[in-house]
Amino acid sequence: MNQVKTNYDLTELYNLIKENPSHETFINNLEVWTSFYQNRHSYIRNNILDERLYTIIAFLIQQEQGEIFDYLTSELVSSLYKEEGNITFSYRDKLPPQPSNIHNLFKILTNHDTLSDTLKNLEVGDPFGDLKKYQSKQLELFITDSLIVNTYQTFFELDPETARKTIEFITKNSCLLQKDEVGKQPLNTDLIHQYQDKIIPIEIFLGKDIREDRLIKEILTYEIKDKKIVENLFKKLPIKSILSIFEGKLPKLLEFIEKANYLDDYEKQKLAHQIFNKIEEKYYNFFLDLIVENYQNPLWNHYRTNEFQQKIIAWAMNQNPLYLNDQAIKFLLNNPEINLNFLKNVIVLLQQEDLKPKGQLDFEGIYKEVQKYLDNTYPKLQLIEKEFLIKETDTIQIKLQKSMFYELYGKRLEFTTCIELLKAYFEKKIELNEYSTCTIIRSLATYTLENLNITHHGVYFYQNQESNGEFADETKTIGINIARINHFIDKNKSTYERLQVFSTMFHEIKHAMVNQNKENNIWNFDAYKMEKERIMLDYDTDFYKTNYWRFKEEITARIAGFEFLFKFMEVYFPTLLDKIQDEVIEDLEAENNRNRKQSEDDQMKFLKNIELKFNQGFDTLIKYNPDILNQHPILSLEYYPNGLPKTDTDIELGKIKENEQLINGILKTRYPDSEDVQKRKFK
Amino acid sequence: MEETKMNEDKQKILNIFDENVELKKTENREKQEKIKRLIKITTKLGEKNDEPSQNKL
Repeated sequence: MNQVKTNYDLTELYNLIKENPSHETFINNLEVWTSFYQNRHSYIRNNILDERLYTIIAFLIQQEQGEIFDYLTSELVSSLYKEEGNITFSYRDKLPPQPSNIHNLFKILTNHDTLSDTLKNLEVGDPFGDLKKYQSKQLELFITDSLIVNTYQTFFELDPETARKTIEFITKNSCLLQKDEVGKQPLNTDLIHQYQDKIIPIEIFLGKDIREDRLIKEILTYEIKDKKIVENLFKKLPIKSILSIFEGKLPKLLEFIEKANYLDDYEKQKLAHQIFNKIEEKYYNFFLDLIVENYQNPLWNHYRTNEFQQKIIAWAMNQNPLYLNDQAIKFLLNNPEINLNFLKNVIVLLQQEDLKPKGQLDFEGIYKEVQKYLDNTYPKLQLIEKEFLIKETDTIQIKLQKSMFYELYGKRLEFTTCIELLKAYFEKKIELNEYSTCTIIRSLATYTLENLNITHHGVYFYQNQESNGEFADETKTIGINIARINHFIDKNKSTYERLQVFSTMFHEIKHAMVNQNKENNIWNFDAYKMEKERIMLDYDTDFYKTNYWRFKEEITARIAGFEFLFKFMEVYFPTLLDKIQDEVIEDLEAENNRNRKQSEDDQMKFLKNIELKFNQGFDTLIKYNPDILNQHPILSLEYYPNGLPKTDTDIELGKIKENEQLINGILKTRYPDSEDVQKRKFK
Repeated sequence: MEETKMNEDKQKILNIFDENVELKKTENREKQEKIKRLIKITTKLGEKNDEPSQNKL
């Protein structure tokens, strides 16, 4: 009995076309294409990174099966753009610099090998002329979009003439910017809203090309003379685009507002405030510099709001001072509302001997400012005076008093003093306040880092609503949220909540340990996986944000935070160990119950999917950015210099005694069924 | 004498961070393992949407 085959592997389909890409092949294999069409969803999902899929689709398109084409492209486009399940992994521009999938289909559809070729041919005629016969809205959108995305990627490499023609072409052909039939309404605001992120690249490269006031003329008066549209545009453009248009220069933005003659002064101020209000925290650092530079600028003083300026300054005072430049630090030190915590953090920074020769900051200048401040505020306190140093013979109360001065001057307590103070606190012999707790935590963390031979530039305290702690590998600093300190001294909190400051401290120390191993070129498979996750972060911040808690580095540090805490308690405060362990278990179980919405099977599928997406995404990233291999040579164990993944045999060849565990890990993830791995298992 | 004490202190700290050094009581070790498992489950499957912030990479 003849059985109709319904499942074709992509290779079989591809081979059919590869051998004979004719209409005959299409007609003679109708049942094959029907099956492909019926299962298009899974074909596209499973092979989204496979170039052969695009060849097959292009072949089907050429057979002029309009309906099939429409369905296929719409499926493909939505697979490329949309979020899948809980994982944000849209392929649209999440894997820059080259959205390879769009690029591939674009190549096939336009018959041009490279985008530059397409752009150069703009003067010859419409590169999409042949495709217009399909009359598909989906296609029109898709091509416009792929042109915009692709052009944006390569725009800056184009010669000015081609660049100009490209802008003209896009503005003329883009369905997003098209005039309506009557031609009266210059810009369809609904479309702007809907495709906001798609038109932004146009504004950005218009901004790059035309600049300054001509830019305003070109963008905002290209078709728009209405002030409502100007306001709308600023309301809808993300701040990143606004900054790009003005090349990140505040005076330019202010001058633009000043010159907007169609607005009266009140409206101008309103526009300025509208822009400032939408500035997100991630740009505060940038705006702090602008404020420092423009403090005396009359335009700034006219258009700024006190609220905005204070918000930025308050934010800056709660940052790691190593992220600020010396002008900014001096500016903040001279601010009438200087925050004591900021001052302490600056002092700790000043005490990092090894930072001084690097000349990152004008230490002497800053030190004078700090000294001036301290002398004015606390004239009688001089750290050099011996009477303020803690002596072994001091009573615990005196030690406590003195420790507060230590904190003010950023001086460290001896390890034994820290333990002694903590013991007395747990035994309710003394009360700790924010200052003394900060000194204890800072001293313990610093002492630990030094004993573990970890290079660091101090421990600082900050305040925000987001995190318990931070480790910054660039500045090699550990940050602890002041809120954790306040929980520690809050008697209404549970033991676990109060001791969380220690698990946070140990969590960050674990990050520092991992980072130190990396810098010393000590690798194991876990460290390797963490490194891949970090690289991915540089290219796909959204993926990282969504899946942050699931990343190896975080899970490892979270576990380590507790393990170190328990051992610390066992050594120094054994009576509290059982209590804290029970409370942690209770807390985690409650958290786990809250999250247990899916069946176990679904959960496993979900996890597997994340892993798969990550690996696929990482392969694509390396494929199109093989330069990453030069920056991170460790990856050459898994990838060839051209960016393609190595075969299991070649990975195996890289194995030496020192990296055995790492290589086995790579093989197990990449080739779980490989014979070599199987053999090793039975050894 | 003081130096010996300092070395002892140092060793105590290093032991805390040494993966090969375990908690003394079996009961505590078991609880620690349980916590480790719970963390893995909750972090991997939880629906945390917090901004990445614990580690400013």
